[in-house]
Amino acid sequence: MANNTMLINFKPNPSFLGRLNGSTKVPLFAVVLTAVLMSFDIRIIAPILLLSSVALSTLKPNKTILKASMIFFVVLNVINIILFWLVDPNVGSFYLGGDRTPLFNVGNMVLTQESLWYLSVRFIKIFTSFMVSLVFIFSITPSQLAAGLASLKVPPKIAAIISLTFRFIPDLANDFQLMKISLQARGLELDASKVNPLERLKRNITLLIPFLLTSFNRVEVVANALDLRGFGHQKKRTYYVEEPPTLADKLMKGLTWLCLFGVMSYVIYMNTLAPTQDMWAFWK
Amino acid sequence: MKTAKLILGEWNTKTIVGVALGAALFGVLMVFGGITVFTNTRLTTAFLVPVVVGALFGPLPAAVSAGLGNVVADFIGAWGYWFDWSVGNAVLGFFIGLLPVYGAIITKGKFNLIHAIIFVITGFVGNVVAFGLVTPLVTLALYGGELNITLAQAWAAGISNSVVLVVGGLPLLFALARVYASSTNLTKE
Repeated sequence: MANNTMLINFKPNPSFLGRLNGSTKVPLFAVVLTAVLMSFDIRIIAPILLLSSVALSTLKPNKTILKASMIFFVVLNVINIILFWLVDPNVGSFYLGGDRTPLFNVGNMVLTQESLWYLSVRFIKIFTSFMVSLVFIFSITPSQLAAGLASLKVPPKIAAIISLTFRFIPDLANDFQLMKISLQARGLELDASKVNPLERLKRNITLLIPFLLTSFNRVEVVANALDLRGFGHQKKRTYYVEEPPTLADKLMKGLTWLCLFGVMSYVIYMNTLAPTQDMWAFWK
Repeated sequence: MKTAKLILGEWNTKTIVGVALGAALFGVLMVFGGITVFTNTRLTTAFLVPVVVGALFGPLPAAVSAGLGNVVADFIGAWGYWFDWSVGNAVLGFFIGLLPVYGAIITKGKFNLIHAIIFVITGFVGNVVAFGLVTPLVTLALYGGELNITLAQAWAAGISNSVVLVVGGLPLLFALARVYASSTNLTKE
């Protein structure tokens, strides 16, 4: 990724989601993400995937970044899924009541219908959680994130740590890029066609130590700037970006409560009344 | 009393900014500064970050920046959310960050061979506790059946982290101690 600065926004996105308050977006994201993570039920995950795709398209994210992250996602997760299957070829049977329906052989290993289903659902689930994260990250600014966390009764200091973390990412990526370029200008060869991968890795690590040391120099500057503005003097604070809720905010808040109710009833049902904890599959 | 303060760290503005910076660095390095060695497990340089945070602010700040950094990495890293590993990484961050507690006060340029040996041992113990004990327990509580894969991942993570800590962490600590020693500029006569 050549330009990481595009990943975190400092100005609110002009779309519908971008204009919502931080205190609306953060709880909504938390509830939707919980809904994705709580189960391996494709009937819950698929609609969220659809909705988050629509939401992502309204945000009009930078195309090259989106493409790069999609390629990154697919390569990484296909490798992960294959390794997962190699470690435990019968993983699906565990989640689907112990059935084992062989589909075909790969070498001397058997791919079962259950494992194929489980691994596909797992892939879709991780993809959905990634899409939800992308929607969140493209629609929020670090200040809105802090305001949203504070509205969830997170102490302002912790909210500040989390929002500063996101605020630092583009700066650090820029710094690393600059340091790399300047050391290359002084003759450090990092070109993939000229240095073998192991040597390149080693040189990247030697680059890392000065990068880490200089990064922490900025702590003092930022901390002084915060202190000068009276950071942390009181237990409570307000946020400049937090505006009076609009109709859209109220509607989305209602939706969040509805989703929360759904998530909670699902969790309670699955842990008490449900006849089986097995995951849902279309043939059962 | 003094040890308790060393362990918890002093949560002033500087620590808050340092922890946030550490978490951001940890997240970025975990995503972009490593190679995959096993399913969802990477040989990552990220564990050099809690080394610095621990040296400057103490164990608890190091733990927070490692744990939060892992959540950030999950956020931008496209491999799904694994909070069991965030907890495990926080525990390892705590062990790595114990530096000031056993007398390796880097900010005063104090880091010698004995400190280095203790650092390697705590790093090893930290890996065993974090990935051999804490992570599997949290996995069991949060994700139920995925214990087999977690145990296999734990081996890969423990070994690759230990390698990174010894190969990268030690030179980093010596460099850091040198930087601070030269800035104090005073010698005992």
